[in-house]
Amino acid sequence: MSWWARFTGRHRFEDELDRELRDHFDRLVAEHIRRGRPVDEARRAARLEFGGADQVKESCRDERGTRWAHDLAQDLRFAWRRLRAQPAASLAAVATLACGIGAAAASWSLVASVLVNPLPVADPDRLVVLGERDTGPGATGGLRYSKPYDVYRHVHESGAFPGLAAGGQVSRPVAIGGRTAEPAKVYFASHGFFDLLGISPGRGRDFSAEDDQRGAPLVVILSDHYRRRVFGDNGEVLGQRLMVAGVPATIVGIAPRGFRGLNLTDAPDLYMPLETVGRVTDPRANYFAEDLPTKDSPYSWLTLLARLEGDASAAQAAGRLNALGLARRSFELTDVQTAALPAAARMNVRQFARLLGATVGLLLLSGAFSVGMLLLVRAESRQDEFAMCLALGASRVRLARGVVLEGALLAMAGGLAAIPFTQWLFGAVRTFQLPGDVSIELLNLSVDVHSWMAVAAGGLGSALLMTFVAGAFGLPARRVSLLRSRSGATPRVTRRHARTALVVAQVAIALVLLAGAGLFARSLSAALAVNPGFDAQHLVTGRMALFDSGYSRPAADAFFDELRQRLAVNASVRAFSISASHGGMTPRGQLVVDGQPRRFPSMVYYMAVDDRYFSTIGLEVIQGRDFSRDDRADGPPVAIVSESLGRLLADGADPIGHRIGSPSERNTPRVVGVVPDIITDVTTLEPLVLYHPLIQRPAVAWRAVAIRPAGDPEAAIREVHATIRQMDARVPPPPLRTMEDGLAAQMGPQRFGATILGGLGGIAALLTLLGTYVVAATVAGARRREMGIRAALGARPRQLSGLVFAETARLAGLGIAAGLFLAWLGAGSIRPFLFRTPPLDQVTLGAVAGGMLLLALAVSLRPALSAARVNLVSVLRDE
Amino acid sequence: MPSARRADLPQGTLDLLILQIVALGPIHGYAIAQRLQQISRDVVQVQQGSLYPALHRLENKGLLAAEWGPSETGRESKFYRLTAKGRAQLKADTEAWERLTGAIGLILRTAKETR
Repeated sequence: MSWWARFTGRHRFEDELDRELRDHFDRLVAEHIRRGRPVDEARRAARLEFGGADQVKESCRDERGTRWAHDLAQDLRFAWRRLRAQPAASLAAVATLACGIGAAAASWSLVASVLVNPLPVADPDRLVVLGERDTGPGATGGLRYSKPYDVYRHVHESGAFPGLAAGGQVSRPVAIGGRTAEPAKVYFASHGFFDLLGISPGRGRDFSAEDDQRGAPLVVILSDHYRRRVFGDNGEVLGQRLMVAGVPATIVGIAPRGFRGLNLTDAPDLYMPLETVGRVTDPRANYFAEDLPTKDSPYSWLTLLARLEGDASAAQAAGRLNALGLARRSFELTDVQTAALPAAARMNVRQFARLLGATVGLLLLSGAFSVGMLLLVRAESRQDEFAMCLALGASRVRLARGVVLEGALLAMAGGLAAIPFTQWLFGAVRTFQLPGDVSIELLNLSVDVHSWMAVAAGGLGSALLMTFVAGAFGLPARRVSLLRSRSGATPRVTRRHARTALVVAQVAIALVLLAGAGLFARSLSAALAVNPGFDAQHLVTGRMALFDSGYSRPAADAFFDELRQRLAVNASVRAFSISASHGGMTPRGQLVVDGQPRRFPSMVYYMAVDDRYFSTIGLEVIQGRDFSRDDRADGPPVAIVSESLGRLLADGADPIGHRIGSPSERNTPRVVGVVPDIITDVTTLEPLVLYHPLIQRPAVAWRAVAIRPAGDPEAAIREVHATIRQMDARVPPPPLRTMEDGLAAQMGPQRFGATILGGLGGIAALLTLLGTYVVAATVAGARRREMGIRAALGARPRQLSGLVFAETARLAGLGIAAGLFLAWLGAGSIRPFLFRTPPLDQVTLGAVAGGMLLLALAVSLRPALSAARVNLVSVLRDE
Repeated sequence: MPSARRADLPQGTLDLLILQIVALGPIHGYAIAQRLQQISRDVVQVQQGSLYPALHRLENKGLLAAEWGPSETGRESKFYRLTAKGRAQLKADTEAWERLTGAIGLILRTAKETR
């Protein structure tokens, strides 16, 4: 018989054991009768011979090997009954744990999907991206991964990698079922791309070699997030058609759910075969880098991806590849996971993950403390019962097990309740962005194996902690003395230190979390107030890339001229301006100032702007003059500098008349004006910007547009989009947003931090208040007799409630001090995310500490009032 | 006085004896006790307090199987029989026992002769 059958067949076993022993007994009686004894005497003799049936049964039960399980089940039932007897406290404990465990599971999933396993591809360590070190004047020294098509062809034909694929992303207007075309990110991937990554479409099929021909009928594979956004969760999409830049294409597959392309900050919507890129882009755009019609350098848009062979390391493979001397290029191979998230972003995300982990850990700890305290208080209220059980011979182990099981039941219920909470949390954080522009929505968070493990670990950990707290302090040390002292003597306020420590720890944790939230919120508002006096709310900006639509430089210039003329007569647009950023000089490179080479402490950005730029965005030229129509392409080169750059270049003197430019320029531009600093990037607080007239700087085919709307910014955006569509339906309407939204979007991590820390801190504060109340109430309850005596001796009610308040204030004060110390320890980890806010901001810390103290005093109001009303007569009568 | 002739069973031998008795055919607990007493000529007397826990232990180990059936008195009794596993165990235990008792006897005899 299996153990399980024995465990479950307990009632049958008892019944059969009973029958078996009765049979034996009856046979004994029969034997005695057979030997000639009377019936009564025979029974008596048999009973003597047989011995105690109960002892025999007990021994048989022991032999079954299921006794411990039955005892456990009994203890569990008892624990369950006790929890049910106090539903409010039990529910509070479960909710507490659910919050803590859920938050832990969610943040672990988040961290896992960004840092641990960002790309769900097979064997990502052996998958490399071909990069080239960015060298030369003004270079950043970083790795560039984009390559023109001809490089792909060279590497492919060299046979250096048997497994090689290429892909590049292009924005194309996509229309579905007669709806208006919307820009979509289309990833053009060579045949074998998915195969190389080791993934196959979640539904439908991969691209075939025939699909990846220049004349082949167009096919697309949808990304899972695009399918859900456009088609909804249901509905058959395979075989349906959509229009990519006006050309019909058939949906043949859907990428697996977790796959979000090779770049975490820019996930594709659709995938199409690489060779068909020419069919949906303008032929003049020349994606294949063939016999260049213009003097433009070949368009670098492809990422080259290869799988390392055998045991070859990335360095060895790069050495072999470079030995071939392809196009005189020198490649470095980076593993695909590292390339997926830029190094700076990776560091930010890691710091952020650490912060999140610490936060969640603190919350979980706080939750475990408060549940531990509930158990502790409950165990204390059962001291008499425990003492009685011990006196009757129950083992301490068994009693401790009861307390442990209560904690385990709470932890299990908390773990179960954490699952829906986690799911809700995933939904709530969806709209946020992580540092490095990683969109949480694209991470496609779900409760997976990782989160299950986190839930299990969280549940187990908190159960252990609670058990320790309750078991260590809850069981009575002396049984008899406790029973003896029941009569009359004042019950000692037992285990006060344990409770005090718990409340102090909770106050400290809540203080840290709330202070963190406060710092993030302050930093957010500081970021939104970076440009005082500047109307960021009524300025719409965006970028337009005409290159993808096949525009050459002159054609793009003509397009923008026409757009400007059309918008000049549009009533909803007050002013319109075009600019282009054309790189800059890093602190490592040198500029030339008045003929002398010169380095600047931070990046100097080059901006080419038209003569309406400053008036459109609302910047007044504070020194010198604005650009004008007199600044001609063939005229003397001129420049305007930002205030910070002007101050640096003239060493605090008047910058007008100085000459500044890059070393490659033959004729260095002369500074004719100074404009105030304007912060468009929250990481650059003293922007060094060198403005040139657009007409003197023929720029690349994409431009930035700035629009000052006459009224509603949204209406102006609609008008601009409509105008662009009228001019050329192939040009995808550019994403436009107000500058305020743009700045706010850069503060995604801070917004996320403020919300998450604020939410978790709020929960922790609630738990703390609950804990403070419980302690204040129990202490006040235990001191009733003392209070009664004081009252009888003439203490006034105010003095009595003062005693309770003093106790609370002492606890809260200790907790606040501990919390401030923790905040000081943790200051370093939050510093990178704060904008113009010190990590030990006195206003924030002071407000949070004061608030905590006031709230703690507020919750002890009720115990304090009841202490004030104590009457010695009623206390003695109660006893 | 019969009690003077009784002997305490060495540790672990009860299981072996029960297996041997049950090996003769399906049998209930009372009969096992009777049979042990008869065969040993009242030297071995097993108390219910050891017999039934031992039977349950052997049943849980899978050495014995039990089923309820009508007995000679017409009432239902629980009959134990040996399983294949029990038979193998009995063989192994018997051999071990014989080796051990043989060795002990040899030691006693040899020691007596050389005295």
